[in-house]
Amino acid sequence: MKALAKDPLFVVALAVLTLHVVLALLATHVAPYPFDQMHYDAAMKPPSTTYWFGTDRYGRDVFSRVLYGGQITLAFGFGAVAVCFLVGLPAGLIAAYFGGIVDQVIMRIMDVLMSFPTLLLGLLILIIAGPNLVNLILAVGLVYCPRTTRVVRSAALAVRQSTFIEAAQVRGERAPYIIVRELLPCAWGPIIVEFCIRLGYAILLGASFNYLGLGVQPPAADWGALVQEARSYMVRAPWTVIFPIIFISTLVASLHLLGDALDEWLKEGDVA
Amino acid sequence: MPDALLGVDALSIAYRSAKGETRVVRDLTFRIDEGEIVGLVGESGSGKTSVALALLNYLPRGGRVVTGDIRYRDQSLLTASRRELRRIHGRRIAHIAQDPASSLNPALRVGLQLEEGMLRHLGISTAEARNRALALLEEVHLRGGERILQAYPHMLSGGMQQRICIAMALACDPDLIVMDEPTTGLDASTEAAIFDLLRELKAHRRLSVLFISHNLAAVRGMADRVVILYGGRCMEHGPTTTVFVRPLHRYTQMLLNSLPTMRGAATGDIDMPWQAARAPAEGCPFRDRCDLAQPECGQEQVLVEVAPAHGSACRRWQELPAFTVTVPNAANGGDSVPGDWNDNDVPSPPGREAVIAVRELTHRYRNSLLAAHSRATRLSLDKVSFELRAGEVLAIIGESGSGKTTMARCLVGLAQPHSGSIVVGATDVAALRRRPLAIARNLQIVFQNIAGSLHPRKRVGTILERPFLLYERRHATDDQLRDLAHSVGLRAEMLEKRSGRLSGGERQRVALARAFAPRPAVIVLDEAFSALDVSMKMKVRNLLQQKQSELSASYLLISHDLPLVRSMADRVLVLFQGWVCEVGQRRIIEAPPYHPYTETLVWSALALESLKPSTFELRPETSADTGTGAAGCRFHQRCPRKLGTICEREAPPQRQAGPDHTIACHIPVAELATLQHAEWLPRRGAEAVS
Amino acid sequence: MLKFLAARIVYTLAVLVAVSALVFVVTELLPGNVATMILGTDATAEDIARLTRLMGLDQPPAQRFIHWLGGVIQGDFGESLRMQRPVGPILAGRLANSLVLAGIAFAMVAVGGLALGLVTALNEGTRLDRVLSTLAAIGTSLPEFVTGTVLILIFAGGLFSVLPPSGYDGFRDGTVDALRHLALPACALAVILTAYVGRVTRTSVIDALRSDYVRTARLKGLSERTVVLRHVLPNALVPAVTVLFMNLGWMFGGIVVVEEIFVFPGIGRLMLFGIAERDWPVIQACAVVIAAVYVFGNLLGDLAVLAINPRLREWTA
Repeated sequence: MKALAKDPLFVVALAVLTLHVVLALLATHVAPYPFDQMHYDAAMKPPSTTYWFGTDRYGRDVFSRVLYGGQITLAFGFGAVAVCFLVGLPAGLIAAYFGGIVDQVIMRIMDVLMSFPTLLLGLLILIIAGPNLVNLILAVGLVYCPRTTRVVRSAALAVRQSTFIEAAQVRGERAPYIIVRELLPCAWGPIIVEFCIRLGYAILLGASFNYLGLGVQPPAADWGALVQEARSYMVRAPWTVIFPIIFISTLVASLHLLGDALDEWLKEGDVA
Repeated sequence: MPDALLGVDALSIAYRSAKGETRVVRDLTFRIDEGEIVGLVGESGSGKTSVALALLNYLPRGGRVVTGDIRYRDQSLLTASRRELRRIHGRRIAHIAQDPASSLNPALRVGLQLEEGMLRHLGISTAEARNRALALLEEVHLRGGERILQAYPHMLSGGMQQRICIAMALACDPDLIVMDEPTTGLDASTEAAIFDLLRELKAHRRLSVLFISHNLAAVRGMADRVVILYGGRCMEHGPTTTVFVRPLHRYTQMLLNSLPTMRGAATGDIDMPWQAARAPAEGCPFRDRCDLAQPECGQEQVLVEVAPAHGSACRRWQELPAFTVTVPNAANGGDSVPGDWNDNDVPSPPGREAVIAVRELTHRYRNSLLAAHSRATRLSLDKVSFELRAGEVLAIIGESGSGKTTMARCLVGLAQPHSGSIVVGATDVAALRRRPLAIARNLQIVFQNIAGSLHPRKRVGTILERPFLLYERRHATDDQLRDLAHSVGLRAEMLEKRSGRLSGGERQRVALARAFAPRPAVIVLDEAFSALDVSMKMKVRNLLQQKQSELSASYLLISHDLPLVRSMADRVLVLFQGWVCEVGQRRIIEAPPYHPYTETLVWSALALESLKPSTFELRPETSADTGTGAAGCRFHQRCPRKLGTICEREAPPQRQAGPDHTIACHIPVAELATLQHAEWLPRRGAEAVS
Repeated sequence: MLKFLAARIVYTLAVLVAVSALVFVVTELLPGNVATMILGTDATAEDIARLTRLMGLDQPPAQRFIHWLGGVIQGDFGESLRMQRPVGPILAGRLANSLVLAGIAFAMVAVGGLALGLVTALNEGTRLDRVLSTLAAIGTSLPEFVTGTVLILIFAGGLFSVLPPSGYDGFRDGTVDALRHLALPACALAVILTAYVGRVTRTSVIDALRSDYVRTARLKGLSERTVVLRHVLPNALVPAVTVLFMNLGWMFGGIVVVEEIFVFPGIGRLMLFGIAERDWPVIQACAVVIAAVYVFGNLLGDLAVLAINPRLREWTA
């Protein structure tokens, strides 16, 4: 843990992530205006002391909209990852532990899901289910759960081959005990890394859907939708897109860097 | 003194880690002269591989030479530029690594890998290089010429891959070859054949070699001089014939005392404390394991010249108890010790009842697992029958692929046999999907992979308590856990440690304690010794023997290590490709008649100790085993005593070779005995006359 | 080898059929009666019933699927509901545009990603490696709509106006003009994958550099150039190329977003049009074609890996 605390990338990434989470949680207190309050007299104003990030075409405060957008972004990010892990964690562990037919069936189902291009599968789901936050979460979760399953499975598989699992079997332990008490505690490392990385990608994909107008509906807007709204006038009022872009990029980058740092640290731990 | 070919001078190597810098080698000095083979001997953690990597300028990240110098002739290798080193490596100093499979590039043809060094250093044409490559293949006894050069490494067996690596090292006719454990991981017969090749090359080429190994017997057979390393320090060095016969360091004495051999009495009677987690940094690193240690051993260590060219770092070398190894004359090679050949019959154990009876057990690999290599289904066990009797040690021996590990796995329920029965007590467990806890409790196993068999994140106490919780549904008392730990020589504080933080020896003892905890009737030892250092082997063996009398347990010893088997087993079962070729008392591996396969195993084990009879040669391994014929003897393709087509067509009969001794061979037992006595023994007669 | 190839092609076709079935089922579930959608809410019941019969919508789904699949194989994707024209020809033109865009982006990813990975790995631990690796980590965090928007802000109207933000119309006005229009979309599509492929390549090159066989090669005294080109690359490329082709799927998702940003007349925008207009034959056609391109891309990837890895070639022989 000490080595990790010394890694500047890790520290910066953790700080940025914390800032994002805190801002989103406190959005109602921090935001100077409601996210949908229009100021007709102040449309498309550049950043100033009144409107820190400027205003959009309807005179809505970009800063407030970005803060509330963070709530939505984190909501679908964490929601989708929760779906991924609800499916992927048990499926991956079971596939790895039992192997054989069980493994084949689980992984072939995941293969079929994976044989769609990422965005296309989500698009199709959202077309049937209709665009809203819950469906967005389900769509992104479903798109990514095969990948999570794979990661969990391969992490568990590496442990599965350990002799202590065989030792437990010989001893007469039951499968649930072995999976939960012996297998899982040794597979946490890659699973946590997967959580960070997957959260990053879930936010990317969810924001892309919102950008295409297939997620949350106006006037609510996440960062993807904010960029989309401002498309027609972004050259004239670049602040309307720059701030959401900065927010989404720093959030996702912090998650990726966090995952990288953890991964590196875990690998070095293995060597020592 | 003239410049040595290689001079290592006061070398210290350290590794940097999060915890700071650790010295793995301290103040090491030795030299290699032309035409000389120097053995660098040490157990795991002795720093021997670091020495090899340092002199090749290939220390891993974080590692560095702190002090000292390494010189090739008059040039320092540590200060040489990359350019200079590239001219030396491959051309002047070549390297043979431990694992041939990973040392060859999987994406390139063998020929290219063999020739590229010559093309770089010798300035010859491609055609010349090809010719030289073919000649090299001849020299390392690889038949197949062009075909082998066109092959990719994965198409060759482990032994062939190592021969390629040897050829690669010889390619530019270097002055010095560094061999880092060149046979570790190879089968005994392959290992013996590689050593034969190395000895032959030594004679023909006048090679200078730094031979790094943990295998004392191999070093004894190869090296002119030895350097004994422990905890990164030189403990003793000198001519092999002196050091291995009259060692003058307590550590060397203990090592040689712990080494089970194919001849001579049982060993391991010097009693040492268990290995500590880490050797002390100052003073004699061996002192906390030494039975003769005194306070002054903690002072700075000095290497004393005890005889010309023989140095010992033991403070008390003059007071050491007399210790002479009765080596059956390694230098002359091949003389056998009189007396051992007499049929000194082991008293056959009384007719004890069987605790496990295995009948006609057959196991086959599932198709999908093997499909990548061959389409044919192979039986890994073919109608194996035997019984394990109460209170005995039964050894199952054979090379890798013989099915001995599959046998162990079937017994404990990790593999599902195809047919046959395994009767434990009164229950046939062969077909059971889940075994009753009562049976699981009575059948414990100790795995080869010691470190891996303990959950790395659990405390030792939790691990040792699990059998109580599982089999008796109760928590163990503190006293019970403490007693259990004490019984394997672990201190009570250990119970609080996580198993991942223990040393290798400590883990092995925790694994043993866990196996002993439910007081089982049978313990399967699946290659449980193969990962242990020499000095640990005898400690563990003695512990097992002591426990056996306490628990009156039976051991099933799965091993490829014949000297060890000889020092432990009551009865021996020989497996070849899942087929029992011979079974009987321990003496079946000590004296003829042997089944021809047992004979090759014994021959290889003797060869490793340079004891093989020179009148009798076994066919060296040339290619991987190909499938066996549908009928006939499974061993006929490799059999040195094959009779003719009968061996290919008919399955050999089971012949009684004595009480409790069966050999499956077409050759009548009496004939085998006569043949083998004649071929293995005449030297003794000849010597007696002279 | 041939056997493996045949098995792989059969597998690919099976996946394609499965994917088309899924697409068909999904679009079947679309809310709203199709006939009502076409005729509007004030159509009479008879009109709706007639149209339903006319379009074969009263037949069981399985039969319609087979009918539809039969058409698809012949290039007949049915008729667009909104445009009142066959989907096939429209699709063909749009697909060609998208393939040009994706092809250019893929080449950028392949060259850029492999180069990035190689440069960082060979300079492992240096300042250059740290800077580039961090940039690559950030690069994998930039979705297409972000890179696309930023590129427009920089090159097409914001800071500079050197490249057009939209208006691609094929190669009609000359290659230079087409390339100018393709530059920004291709970059937007390539950034995230270049960074990703670069990272994977870096890891696999470093693994190869630390391997025993590279040690053997170096200790033969070979030059560093030979070591890298002959010993490291063939092994390190296997995972890199696998990942490169595996991410074609990501690219054909990203292309939808990129085409939307740059108003690019490709298959992605056609699909978005279909979605907005509830034009289900268009959605079906686009989805199937995108999936097909992806599946064939993966097949191509397998073949590429097979070509550079002798061990696999042997095993599958």
